[in-house]
Amino acid sequence: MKVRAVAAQQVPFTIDADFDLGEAAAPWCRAHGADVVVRRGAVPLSLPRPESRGVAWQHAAGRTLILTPCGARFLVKGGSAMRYALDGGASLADLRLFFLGTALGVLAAQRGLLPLKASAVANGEDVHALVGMPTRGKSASAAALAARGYPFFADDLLILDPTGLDTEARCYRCDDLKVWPKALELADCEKVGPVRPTSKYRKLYAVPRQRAARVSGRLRTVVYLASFKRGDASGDRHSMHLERLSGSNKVETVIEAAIHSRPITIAVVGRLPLFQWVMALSRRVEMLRLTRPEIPAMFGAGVNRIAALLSAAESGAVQTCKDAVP
Amino acid sequence: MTRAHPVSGQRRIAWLASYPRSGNTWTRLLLANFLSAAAEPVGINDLGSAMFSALYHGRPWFDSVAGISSSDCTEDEAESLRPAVVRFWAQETQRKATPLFCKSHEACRATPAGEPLFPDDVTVGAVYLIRNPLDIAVSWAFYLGDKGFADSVAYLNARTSGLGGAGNHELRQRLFDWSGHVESWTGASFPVLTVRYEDLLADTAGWLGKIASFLRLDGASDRRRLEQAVAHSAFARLQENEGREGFHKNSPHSRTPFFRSGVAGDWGRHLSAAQVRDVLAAHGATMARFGYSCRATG
Repeated sequence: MKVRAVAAQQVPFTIDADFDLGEAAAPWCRAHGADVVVRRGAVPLSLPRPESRGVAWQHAAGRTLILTPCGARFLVKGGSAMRYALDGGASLADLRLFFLGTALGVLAAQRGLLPLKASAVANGEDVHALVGMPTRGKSASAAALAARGYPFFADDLLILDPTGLDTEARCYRCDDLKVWPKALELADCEKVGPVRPTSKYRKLYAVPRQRAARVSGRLRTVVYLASFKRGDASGDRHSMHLERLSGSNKVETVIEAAIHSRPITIAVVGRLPLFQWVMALSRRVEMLRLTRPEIPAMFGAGVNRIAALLSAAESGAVQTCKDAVP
Repeated sequence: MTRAHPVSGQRRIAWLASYPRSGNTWTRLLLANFLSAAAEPVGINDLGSAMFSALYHGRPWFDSVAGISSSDCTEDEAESLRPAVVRFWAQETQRKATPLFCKSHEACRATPAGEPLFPDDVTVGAVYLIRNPLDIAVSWAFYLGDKGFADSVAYLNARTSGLGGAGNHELRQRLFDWSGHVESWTGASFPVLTVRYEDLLADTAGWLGKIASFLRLDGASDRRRLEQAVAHSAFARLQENEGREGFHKNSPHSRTPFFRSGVAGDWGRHLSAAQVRDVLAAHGATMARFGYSCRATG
């Protein structure tokens, strides 16, 4: 395992894993004395007397069991240890995908951190997160923004430290960019290879034009990417709308669209603490809702609009409006 | 008339199934307005919250119930998990006497793991909406916007037709061809009420009552309640609603409203003789079984 010398305070915890977590997660890795030890071993198919459970997970007494459909299973214990098992032909690539997403999110939640389902770009110390329902173009938009002067920061999982939200929203990245094949050209990024070693899974690892070197930053803006705006009766949907969210709309947006593995995170963190974190986050960051056309030909215009509003957000000059796209 | 199973234990899912563009959304609105029995109509963009319902192919629904991201799964993996997802939803959703409604455009078939995609043990029954495939071909072409009628006919005739899948907002859906879709649902192992769209148009209150009765809903014979639901779901009202605030279900490529014409027999104005022949050649037997001919009345 490749381990880089990184100051411990750069990441909220360190990991000693017996498999390669990949380049983007390198700042989290430490060979000895890590906060979390991840090892291959026996993982049960179920937990006794689960306090809460879902189709692919169970939670009981500080332990969370994750059962992925590819055959990778994780048992995350007390925020300090994780065991995994690979059944049914699951590969190390499968393991890495689910580890750096769901399992690391659960681990973070067990350690009192908030896992966000987001892609993100950076501008110096400032981080701008893109959230939204599945397949709304979060990753592709982040990659495309990297070609417009906003270095790529995070994909899929953005870990937020809720303890300092009174002063700043400190967040951390851990994984590489993953995009659907159709997004490669649109987002102006370069294909690296398949995320999973099966032709039935089509997402690809990709390299954006620019990547942020830092592993953490100050979350400044959350942009909710949407494809429908109630009240927009233009049948062709060739228009974009920008709304600045406030109050309960901010809280609702984060809870609906931005909590990673939401039911598991709720089970691990608890509803009240999670709500309190989201409330504090909503007070700390600017939140915008951008409704944009879902037509590939309009993708570039949509990303340009996001870049413009991030710039405006940084200078505190966001104007809500409806733009007709030619 | 056969009736759905009563809601009991985890047997609480009522499937609202149809080939696309066969009146499924309209039927959901009729049911939502019937169940709400309110003075004000249910808004077309409030359909999901107005009735306990889900889109069986929806990624957000799958992800929120499963707890893992469908985007991390192959389509086969996600599909094989879907029976467990709907079973869990049936178990965990707040207990109510009315069924949980689940919309689907898919053929009634097995998952890659060999399990029924629509599990019998959670199903009270299915309302299967069937429409003249000649009219579907026209409606589907308008919905897609950038496809012609020939493409639409080819879609109805292909055994491999589907919707959604990798990178799409919706999970993969396998439809079969139109006849295969009809056969799969009308031969299902659970109670199925087959409703012709054309009959629903001709006697909406009467057929809404039959649907409500089939599903054992309270008020199924309450004529005033049925007629109010029909009035709230009148096509002109839906068009006005869509014109005022748009409709999230419309295709981004469509150049026409989602609620475009809502009539039977529109195919006579749009399809060529060759396109009609292609549909009849592929589906004539099934069409005849359900009373469809190539007369313009449907």
